[in-house]
Amino acid sequence: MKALQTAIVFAAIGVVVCLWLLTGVRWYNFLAFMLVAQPLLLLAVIVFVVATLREVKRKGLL
Amino acid sequence: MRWALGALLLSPGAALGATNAVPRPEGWIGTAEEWSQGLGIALAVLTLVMLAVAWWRLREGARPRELFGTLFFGLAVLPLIVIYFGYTKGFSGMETVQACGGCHVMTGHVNDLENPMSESLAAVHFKNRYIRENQCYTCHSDYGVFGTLSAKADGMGHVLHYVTGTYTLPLKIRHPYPNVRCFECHAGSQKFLKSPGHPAEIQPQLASNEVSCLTCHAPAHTPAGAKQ
Repeated sequence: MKALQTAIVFAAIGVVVCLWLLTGVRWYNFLAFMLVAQPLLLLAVIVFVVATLREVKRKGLL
Repeated sequence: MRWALGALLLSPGAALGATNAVPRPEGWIGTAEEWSQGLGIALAVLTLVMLAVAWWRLREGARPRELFGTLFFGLAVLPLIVIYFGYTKGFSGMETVQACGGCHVMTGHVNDLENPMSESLAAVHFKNRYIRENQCYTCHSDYGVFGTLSAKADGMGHVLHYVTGTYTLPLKIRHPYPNVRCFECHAGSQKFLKSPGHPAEIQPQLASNEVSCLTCHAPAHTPAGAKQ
């Protein structure tokens, strides 16, 4: 549960940075998009996959 | 009267005519870039809504299995599409003169470029619209796929140097300016071929970069003399 909530927070921050870039490109929001948004979104996916695999393993499906 | 009203409504540039003598052509449903931006924003908002719903339902005690679809789309699928639109918008946005001028160290160069009184090579190209848009990027990127990639990587490097303060003034071009960038537009044109300044015997030297175009056509920029 906590892991999924963490993934949601990471993804939300990443998407907000993307939204900032999409409303108008400046060098600072482009830099934030490259160095902050993408790693956070990747991290969110990793956390989501790990949490899902754990759940599946716990249920004995894997 | 009716005809005039119809013409006004049907002509996309008509409303602009009053303020801008020669309006730039635009599609009546917007450009591809505007659509890409709009879709990107819409999907980003949709992602945030899905994430908020998932967060709220988790707090309410819903089991993760019940939210798998929402989480899968909100965390994995939609952000990927949003990143794609972010790249599209970000990379095209970073090609503009405004983006290059966003760093204070480039202000002099951009002021010179946009100064109609300047006779620098860049300003001459700008004021005569020899290059329609993204003038900095067009002249400072090589052609072809690798030229684009290399220019983007260089651009990121410039931003990092600017942020970390690891640059020295006055700014200098890192490598000698390659003539091939000039040739992309000028080579083969009658004006270039018939110019007494480009006799046939010097053209191989120009092609091999032995003689730089800037030997005769400098300065490319006069940032110090630009109107601030």
